[in-house]
Amino acid sequence: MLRHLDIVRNRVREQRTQRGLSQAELATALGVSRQTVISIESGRYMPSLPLAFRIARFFDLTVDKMFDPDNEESAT
Amino acid sequence: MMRSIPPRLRTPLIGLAFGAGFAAVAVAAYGWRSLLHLGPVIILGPAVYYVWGGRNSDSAAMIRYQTDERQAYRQLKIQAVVGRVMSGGASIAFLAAWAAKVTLWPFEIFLALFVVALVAGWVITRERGDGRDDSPGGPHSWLTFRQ
Repeated sequence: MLRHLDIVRNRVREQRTQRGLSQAELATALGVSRQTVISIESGRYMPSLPLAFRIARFFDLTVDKMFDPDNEESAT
Repeated sequence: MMRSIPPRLRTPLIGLAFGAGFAAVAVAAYGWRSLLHLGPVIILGPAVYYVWGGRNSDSAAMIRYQTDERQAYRQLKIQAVVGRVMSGGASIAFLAAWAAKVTLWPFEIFLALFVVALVAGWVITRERGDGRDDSPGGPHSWLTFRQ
């Protein structure tokens, strides 16, 4: 039913590695488990809107810069 | 009282309490020898559950009652699968019992529980005002727009 959500890419891994953070450190900062960070990075889990905002704010980006519904590879 | 117990210990302690109660009934009915079979299960079950709860995994987070949103969603999906299998199983068992002309009331209890749980779940999760059309000219426009 919500298959279109499966193709939403995100830049969590890219932003995390740019800042030299581990998945565990990011998870602690966001208040989620390391497994959830892994799932979000791999695109297996779509975060809720509040968590998406937390992630975007953590990286000083907007939600639409962080999560790309058009599946584009545009630079941030 | 539950809040004073560390989250990781809650489920194992509940299991231990139920196990102790079950053991007491078994001892009263069948004597002390029944503890030889029940004892290890009653003690090892909660112990394994407690040790498992210390791991860094989704299942351990569920045991510790410390799930994040993905784990809580996963827990809900697991419960949904369990609910579907149990209700489906109860329905099939009811039909099998009816066809075999054996006692039906145990299966009727499970089916009645299914209906009660369905209604309770519907009522508990309902959203007030759900489905009201408050657009201009709509039946509930007075909620948003002055006529």
